Amino acid sequence: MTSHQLFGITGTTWKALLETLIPAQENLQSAAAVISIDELVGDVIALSSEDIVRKFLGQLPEDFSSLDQSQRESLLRQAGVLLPECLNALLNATYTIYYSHPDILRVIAERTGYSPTPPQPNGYALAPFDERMLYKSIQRAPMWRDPH
Amino acid sequence: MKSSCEFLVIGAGAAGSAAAWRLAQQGANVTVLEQGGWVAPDSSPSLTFGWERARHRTHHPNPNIRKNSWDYPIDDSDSDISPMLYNAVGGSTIHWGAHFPRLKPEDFRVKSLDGVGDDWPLSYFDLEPYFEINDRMMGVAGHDGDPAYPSKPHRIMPALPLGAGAERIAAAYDRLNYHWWPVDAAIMTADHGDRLACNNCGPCDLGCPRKSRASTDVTYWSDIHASKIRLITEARVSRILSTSGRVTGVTYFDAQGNPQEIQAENVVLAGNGVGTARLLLLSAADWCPNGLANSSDQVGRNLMFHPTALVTGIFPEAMDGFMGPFACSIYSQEFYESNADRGFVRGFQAQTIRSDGPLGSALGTYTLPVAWGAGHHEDFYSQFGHTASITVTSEDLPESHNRVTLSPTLKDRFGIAAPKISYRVSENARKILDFGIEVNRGVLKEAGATDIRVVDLVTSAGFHLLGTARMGSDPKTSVVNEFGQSHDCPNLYIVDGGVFVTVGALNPTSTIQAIALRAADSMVGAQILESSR
Ligand SMILES: Cc1cc2nc3c(=O)[nH]c(=O)nc-3n(C[C@H](O)[C@H](O)[C@H](O)COP(=O)(O)OP(=O)(O)OC[C@H]3O[C@@H](n4cnc5c(N)ncnc54)[C@H](O)[C@@H]3O)c2cc1C
Repeated sequence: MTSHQLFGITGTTWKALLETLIPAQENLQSAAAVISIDELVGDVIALSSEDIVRKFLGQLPEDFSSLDQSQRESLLRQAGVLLPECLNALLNATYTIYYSHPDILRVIAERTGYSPTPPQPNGYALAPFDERMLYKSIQRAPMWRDPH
Repeated sequence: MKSSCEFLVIGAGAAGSAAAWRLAQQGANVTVLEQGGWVAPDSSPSLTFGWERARHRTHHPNPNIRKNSWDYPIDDSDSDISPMLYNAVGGSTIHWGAHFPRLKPEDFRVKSLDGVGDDWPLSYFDLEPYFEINDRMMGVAGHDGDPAYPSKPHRIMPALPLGAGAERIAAAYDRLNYHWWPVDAAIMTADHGDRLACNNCGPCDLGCPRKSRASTDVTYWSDIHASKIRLITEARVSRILSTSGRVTGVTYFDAQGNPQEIQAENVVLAGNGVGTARLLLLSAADWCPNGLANSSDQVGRNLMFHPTALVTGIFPEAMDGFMGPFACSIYSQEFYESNADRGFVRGFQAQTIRSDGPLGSALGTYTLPVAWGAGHHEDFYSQFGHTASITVTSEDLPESHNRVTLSPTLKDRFGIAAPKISYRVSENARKILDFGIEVNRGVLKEAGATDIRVVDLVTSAGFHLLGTARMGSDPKTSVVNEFGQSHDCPNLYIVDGGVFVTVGALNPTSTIQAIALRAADSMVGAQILESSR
């Protein structure tokens, strides 16, 4: 059973939901552009539960995808007030998949200089500790109490 | 036939590894039962592209999220804070941040000095020789001369570099006339044997393929004396067996799930403040219906976590906080001590922490998550690589209603009752947190942060599991004596953070391990080392 069938909402609604959480902006892609809905749903269920996700989605109107961003945001916030755990799970899964996606990491690297490779084995240079920074701290009197 | 041993240690984490090593070094016959297995340092997800995702799923420090087969579930539905731990050879040091302060001399005399909690039956100076052995075994980088402590032996390895965020914060501390010092870190900054100098990669909590960051599987367990220990992994102890006033052995489930029994002349418990309390309660018998070693009714009580708030500064300039050991740069003890004008007792440690990769920044692992909706990208790019945070790690005082009990419903995969945590942040700790938040706001503002965000209680910061089998001289009010020896069963010892009487406001592991080493000397009747002061 696909995730669409599982919750009785269309792929268009799922996409609108993702676009609401992380919309496209200039050359930054929306969550809907990079996230597979089946992967998202699997992760959300693992973090929450099928029942709760169903209840959460049940609060969204059928025409959710045709509403504008601010209307969709306020509907999601309302649903999140009733089922905060589910909104958190949805956000967690969306951010997790989005910010692990190679295309997104490439854009972050271009914009910030961050290296999207794994932290190991290369790491970053370990600069020497500069003890001159302690010029003031070393002048302090002892600040522990001798209990004897 | 049931096997037997002289000392049976339960748990191969920070404390159990240290105790077992010391016992073996002293010539004792030692068997260790550990419910987890070995975690190869080069299996760390930090070598893979999916490292950040692993951190939030398969390698999460919360066993209820990670759900690894070595784990047991914990009911934390009645707790303000969720416990974080790991079950493996190395215990929670597989995941820890390696910030390695000691408790301070005054932390052992809180009742005498500040009129709260209780005094310990031992002092900082009793532990001093054992802190030194442990520092050598774990490998500590730091800088001599911190005025917050009595002098310590020369730190052979230089301190870690501060990084851009901590440099800003250190300069702000100087302008404000506040104490700061580079932390003692159980991280190599120089090569030694097969442990290589840290390469500043960042996510220490995912394990360290270079073995720079200490974990007891690569420190104590790689020492020659550990080779004399019989270690049985994937062995979950289900019960400590006893007859009136003496323990006789344990039952456990082996790697195949088969029940086993082993006899022991002495049992040494090192399952941490949650695992140990659970096992003592599970080991109730006719002669001890409220749990083993529990005639005082203190087993499981007085759970202390160090409630923590986090104040994050967003800076216009890049801070590159994704580089460098997450938990280790500088700390301040300016507001550590009691001050009657503040309306609370005791104080807090301010630990500067670095930041995260893109996913961690978005999710806000310990900080606030990036906003969703129309402002998402703007919020993400204003924060990613531009933050530095300061914790308010508060003193937590013992309160008997904060406790570990057995869940009546939740069970682990062997059908053994899971622990249940009931914990509420005290009014005193809340006042410390609120005060500390304002102090840290001022520091970050002085450091040049243009936006400041506050998490007033980091509910996932249950890293320190302390107090649930407290030590003391009076068997009516404590579980063990100063050497971890049970008042009720003289051949049962407890050596993990459960024995803490009070907890100060500092990360506990170096103190836990020093206590375990000293206890081991007493178990074999060796001369207890004394401070040279
Ligand atoms: C993410 C994280 C970051 C941390 N950062 C720091 C830090 O920077 N500085 C610091 O000082 N501390 C830190 N800590 C805390 C530190 O890891 C602990 O204080 C320390 O490991 C406690 O030592 P322990 O031996 O008491 O328990 P653990 O290290 O947790 O070991 C207990 C062992 O007992 C085993 N066990 C329990 N029950 C059973 C049973 N029934 N049968 C068999 N085996 C059993 C467990 O599997 C485990 O391996 C951190 C912890 C975490 C999770």
